[in-house]
Amino acid sequence: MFPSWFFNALIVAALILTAVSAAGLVTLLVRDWRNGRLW
Amino acid sequence: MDIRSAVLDETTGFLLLGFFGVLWVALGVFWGRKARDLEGFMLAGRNVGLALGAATAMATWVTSNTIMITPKFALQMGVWGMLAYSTASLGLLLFAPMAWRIRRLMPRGYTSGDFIRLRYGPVAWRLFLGISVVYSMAWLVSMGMAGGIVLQALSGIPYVYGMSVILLVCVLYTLFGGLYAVIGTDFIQSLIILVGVVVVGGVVLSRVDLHAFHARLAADHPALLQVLMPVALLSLFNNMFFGFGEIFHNNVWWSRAFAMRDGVSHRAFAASSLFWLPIPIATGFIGLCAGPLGINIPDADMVGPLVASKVLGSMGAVLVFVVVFCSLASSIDSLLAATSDLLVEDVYRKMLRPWATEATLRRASTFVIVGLGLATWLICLPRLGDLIQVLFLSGPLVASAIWPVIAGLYWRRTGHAAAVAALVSGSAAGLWCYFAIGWYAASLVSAAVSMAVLAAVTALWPARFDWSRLDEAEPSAHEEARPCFQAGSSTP
Repeated sequence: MFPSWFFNALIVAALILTAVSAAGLVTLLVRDWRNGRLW
Repeated sequence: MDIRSAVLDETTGFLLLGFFGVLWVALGVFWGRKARDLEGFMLAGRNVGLALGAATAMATWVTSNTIMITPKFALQMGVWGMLAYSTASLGLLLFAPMAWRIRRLMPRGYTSGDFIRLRYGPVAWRLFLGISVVYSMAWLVSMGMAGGIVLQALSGIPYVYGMSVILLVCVLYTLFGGLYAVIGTDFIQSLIILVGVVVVGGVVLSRVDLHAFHARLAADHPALLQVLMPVALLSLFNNMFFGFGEIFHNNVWWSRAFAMRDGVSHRAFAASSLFWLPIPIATGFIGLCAGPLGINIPDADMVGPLVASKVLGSMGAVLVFVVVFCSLASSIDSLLAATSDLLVEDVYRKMLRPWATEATLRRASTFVIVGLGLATWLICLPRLGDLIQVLFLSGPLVASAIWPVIAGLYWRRTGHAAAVAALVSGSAAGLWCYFAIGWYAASLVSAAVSMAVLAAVTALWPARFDWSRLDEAEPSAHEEARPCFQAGSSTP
């Protein structure tokens, strides 16, 4: 059986990583836009 | 799905559909002004940066299934259900180095068909096109049908209206803006999807005590936390190989590799894989919480929206509706653009009209996009449930293309005989397995047989491919283009 700590870490990590992904995309967009390398 | 389980009223559903439909089309027209030539329309000028590149790969891979089916998967298969679904991100990760090599070997390439034609010659090319078009149409139809069914389930909008509007909107903005419109809207859609999942997941997390939740699951549904589930493990590897086949062969991903600026494609695909990885786990968690939150689930397909509307009220229902709409549009637009590129470049230009001018090809693109949209609409109209099976049936077909593509990119000794034998034997074995054993092993068997046959034929009849032949010159209006069957047949 998956232990409690693994299960909890999995869920929390997934939500944090999703939030970081959204922030990362915006950061990349701003960086590309400032450098004139959007497309 | 049952209309009575709708979490949003029909008027709000229509308003949201109208608002986002007009927004996507307007953005498509706006960005479409950048597409001044065919290369701009088909490949966004081959200059797409990291942010837009990563977002478009991620958004295309998030389909309505990722949002709606993963919670159900988690509810039925527990932790393994979430993990099995998230392995689909590995396909994007493994495609990253391939995208870099594709860009290096074929700086002027247009489609995945171009690669197979130049690398393996006409027989493998035609087989590959057949597999690719069948798969793309199956995916397109499944997304169109899913659009109608899911929007009806969420808001009560009749199936035909929801399906028609979503197809019409995607056809219109792809038609006006080409890949510029697809990539631009994909960025906004990917942000909406990520933020929507974080908001709903975060609120759900704040309502449950994870330790108590685990203890309750262990007591009431121990199977959901079981580490050893043979069928789940088999389906995990099967889904993984189906995903590899889908990504490695399909022009949706190749067109993005061609569209990205030099030095960007591998980083963009690797980033998109990381962005995609947690989504099925987060949405799966939302589904698992139905029990602890005391939510009655009359229909397992609706578990995600029901949990969201329970914890966030009508705002949750609106959020799920918008996220699902974005996930559908981001996949349908990419499929329309990439499949039309494949038909225009490989069938129209290379098979029928090698001397077609750029204006003629642009007109052909318009007809093909409208034709694809119309064909999809007509197939979706009767709402035949069995059509979804065609998508699963195409799993072993696309899995047979995994090794021919990989060997074609990295192993110069693989010739056309090995590629043709691998495609035919892998598809045949996979289809046999699909009917004789089950869907959960078909792609696995197809990939394994294809790999063994490719390796054996390559060992018996090694070729020596000249990589420079993949960099095909543009046929100009003044220059006689070589007939396609002479352009790049690979000699053993």
